[in-house]
Amino acid sequence: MAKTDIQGTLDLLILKTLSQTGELHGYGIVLHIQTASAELLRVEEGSLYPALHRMEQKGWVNSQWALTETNRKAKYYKLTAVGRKQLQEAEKSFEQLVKGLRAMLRYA
Amino acid sequence: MSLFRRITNLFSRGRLEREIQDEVHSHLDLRTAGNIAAGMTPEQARRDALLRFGNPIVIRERIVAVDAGLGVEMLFRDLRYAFRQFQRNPTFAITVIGTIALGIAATVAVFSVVHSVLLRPLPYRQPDRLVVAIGEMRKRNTSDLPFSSPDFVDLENGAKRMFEGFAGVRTGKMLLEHRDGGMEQIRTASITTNFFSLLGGKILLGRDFNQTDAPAQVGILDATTPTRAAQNTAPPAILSYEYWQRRYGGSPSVIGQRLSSGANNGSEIIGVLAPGFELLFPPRADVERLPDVWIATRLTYNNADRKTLMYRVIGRLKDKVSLANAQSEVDGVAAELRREFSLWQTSDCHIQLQPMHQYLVAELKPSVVALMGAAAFLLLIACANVANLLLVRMSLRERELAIRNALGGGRWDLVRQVLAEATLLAGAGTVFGLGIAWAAIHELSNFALPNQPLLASVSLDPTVIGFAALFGIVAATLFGIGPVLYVSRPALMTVLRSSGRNSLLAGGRLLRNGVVITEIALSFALLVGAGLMLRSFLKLQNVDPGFDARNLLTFQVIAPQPSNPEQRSAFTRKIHDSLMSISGVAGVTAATPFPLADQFFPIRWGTEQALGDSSRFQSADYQVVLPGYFETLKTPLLTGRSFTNADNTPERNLVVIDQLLAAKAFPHESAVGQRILIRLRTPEPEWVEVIGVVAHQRDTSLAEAGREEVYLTDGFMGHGFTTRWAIRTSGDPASYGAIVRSRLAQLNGQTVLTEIEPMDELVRQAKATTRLAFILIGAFSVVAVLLAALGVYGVLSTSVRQRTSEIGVRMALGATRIRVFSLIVGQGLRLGASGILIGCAVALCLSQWIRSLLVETKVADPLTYFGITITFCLIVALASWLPALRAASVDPMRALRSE
Repeated sequence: MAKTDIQGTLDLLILKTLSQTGELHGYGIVLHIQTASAELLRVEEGSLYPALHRMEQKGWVNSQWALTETNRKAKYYKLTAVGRKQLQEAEKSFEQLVKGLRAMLRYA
Repeated sequence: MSLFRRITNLFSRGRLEREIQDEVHSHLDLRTAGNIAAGMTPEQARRDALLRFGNPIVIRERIVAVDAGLGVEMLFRDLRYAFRQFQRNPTFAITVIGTIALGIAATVAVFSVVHSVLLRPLPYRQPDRLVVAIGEMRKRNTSDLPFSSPDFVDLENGAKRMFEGFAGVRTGKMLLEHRDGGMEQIRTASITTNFFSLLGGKILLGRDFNQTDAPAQVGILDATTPTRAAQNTAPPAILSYEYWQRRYGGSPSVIGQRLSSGANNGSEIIGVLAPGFELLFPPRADVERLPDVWIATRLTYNNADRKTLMYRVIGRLKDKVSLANAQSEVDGVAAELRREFSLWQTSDCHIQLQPMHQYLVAELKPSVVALMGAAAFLLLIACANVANLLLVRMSLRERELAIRNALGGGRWDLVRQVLAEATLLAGAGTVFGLGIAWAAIHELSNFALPNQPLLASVSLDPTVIGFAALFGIVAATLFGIGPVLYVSRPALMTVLRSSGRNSLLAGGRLLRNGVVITEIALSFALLVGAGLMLRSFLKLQNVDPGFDARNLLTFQVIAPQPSNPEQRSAFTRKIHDSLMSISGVAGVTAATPFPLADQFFPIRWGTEQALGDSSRFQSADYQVVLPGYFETLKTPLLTGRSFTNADNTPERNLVVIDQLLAAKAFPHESAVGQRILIRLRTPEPEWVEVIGVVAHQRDTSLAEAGREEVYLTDGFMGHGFTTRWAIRTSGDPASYGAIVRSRLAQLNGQTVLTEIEPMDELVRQAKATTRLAFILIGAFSVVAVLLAALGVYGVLSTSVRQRTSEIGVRMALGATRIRVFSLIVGQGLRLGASGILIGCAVALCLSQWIRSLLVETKVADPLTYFGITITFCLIVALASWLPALRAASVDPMRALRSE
């Protein structure tokens, strides 16, 4: 059974972003999701942080403060091994969700 | 560990908040910079960044809430807040905690008794499979009989399908002569060789008995005389751990030694029992709890022995065998025995099985259950009271709660806050309650009822403490639920709209009145219980036991008995005379069994009619006495004469009977000079002549009249039968102990003197159960009534405060102070009346439970109910007095102006 919650989708987006970019701060994640999705997906910027905090508590990501290219302090997030595994599961679960949705739509 | 991390986050809260803030700032800065780079003005860029982000404070809260989802943070905050509330109002907190502590203490103390008496399994292997088998002579109205040796053998052989086996035991006392010439009285248990293996007694040293230790007696099956205990080799013995330590200092070399140098007691010691093995039987079964020495018994199989009932029998059911199936198998054995033997047939004897635990606690159970009920009531009342206090306080805090609600404190937050307060109060109350219970249990064990084996082990063990915690949670729920209902009402907002008055006090009134009525009803029921116990106790105090217990010293004299009757008679005479010569002693006698000290056993008696129809035999208790018994005990002689020294021989078949027996045997004529048949010293009943009728004595219990009784002389039984002596003294009987001891020592160095007790003390012990129940239920109900009075007071004073302006108006319109006063008292009495009505119903239903504790008192004793109703009305009136006085002293002008 696929998880159908929106939160799961946001988690998936963040995890995928981090796996593609290696290490990134919150703002960067927002930008990446926006560009990578060809401007189709826009994340509510505030809601990113509770999700990041929760993922950090769960041990999917870890973080450290560093300087950006423009010399500003920012908190950089990185996937952990647990996070990588979580990503695989989330992807699989999302595939199923999409498959299920398609089937539903076709049926109608 | 994410859980661990969340909890550590709680403590590094400041750091975390700062970090979140930094990150939010960093994000906003980056977005602003990005916007500027995209061509916005700095202001526009900042505005856009904030808009995209949303409210930073809310976001921050949401991040923190990820931790708080765990609830730990909230709980801490709520508890801290609750604690601060109590600090602000310590009197309130102390009152509440004290009330709960009382309730919990009573419940826990009584529960510890319930646990050790009713719940804890007996200390044997698979105790739920053990049953006790008892004989029941239905025609003679006699039950709980032990088994004879041949009956035991028949039962064991006849019930093999449902039973793993049966074990028999009988206990007694024995004089043991040691090599150094000293005498010692020890408690002995004669047991079948399978006894320990059947019950699960562990052998510490040496070995257990086996079948070859006591081979069944090969006798003539139908000998005319019972088998005599003449032995060439004594059966082996196993020592109890405690006796082994006491007598032999725990030396392992004891195995193989002889128990005593005397020929008769020369049992070889083959083993030592592991510590703590007890024989758990109810006091009425007359079984020693802790025998010193266990001796293998030889079972005889001689029909003449069937009249000698001596073995207490325990059976072990096979796995999955139900009690009903076992009973029907045993019924078959009994039916067979009734066909075969006339004693079984004429007395209509049956064998009854009872689970061992149930058999043991049958007498104790009603009192324990009643006490548990009383304690539970007390706890309920305590909870009701606390609920009331919380409700009143809640209503005073109404505006605070409403404001918190308006400022965004959700209803759930308020509920949680109330629950936190309840938990904190209940927790503190439980801890203090446990402390009180611990002290009470110590007191209780001093108080313990004599001879109740299971009461010896009452203690605060982990199970009891666990249950105390459970009671605490139940209490918190009970008194938390009212306030929770209260704060979760949707109308809280209207408080703000109303003026300064606590308008919503009126809303909580119904709830509070309900709580107070419950309180009154419960404490009324409890007080009825106490009242009934008081009546019983007074009845018991005034019971005429048929003897005068004052200035009477009793003691047991055990001495080696000479083998010939004349010597025994002379020895008894010597003891008598030497005691009589003590100055201050006005009378000396001896009897076995002795009232309130020994167990009584029924014998068979009948009149002429029984000769032709042996089913006409009935049961009566017997007592063997020395001449002078009735005079020394001051038992009134009703007609005829009492025993003289000339009657004290085996040849004179003379008896004295009590008034109950006289009324039963010779209802229409004088009993003196009549003959009756009794079966005691001979295998078949013999004729004896009645020379006198005395008042009935209460022998085993003061509370119950007991059986009819026949008295025989020591001489009739062949002399030396009576061992418990009594002397009537002038002045304190206890002070005669030393001189009695020295006189007896002069008489014979081998005499053992034990159980020296003033008769007063025996009487006191006989009243112990009733007194204990009375004191405990009484104490509980006094506390309960105080709490209820406090509840009434609380409700009325809140009501007065809330109606101050109304009262002002009434007085301004001409109501007198008396009218106002009676208005408030009337309100209290209405509450009281409803509570009493409900309480009456509750008491009538529940007092059935204490029926077995009552002595000559009806469950629905009108006097008790009437008296307690009056008492309660007074108490309620008293509790309304102060609030009413306050109401009456309201100054109408001020009350109206404050509006």
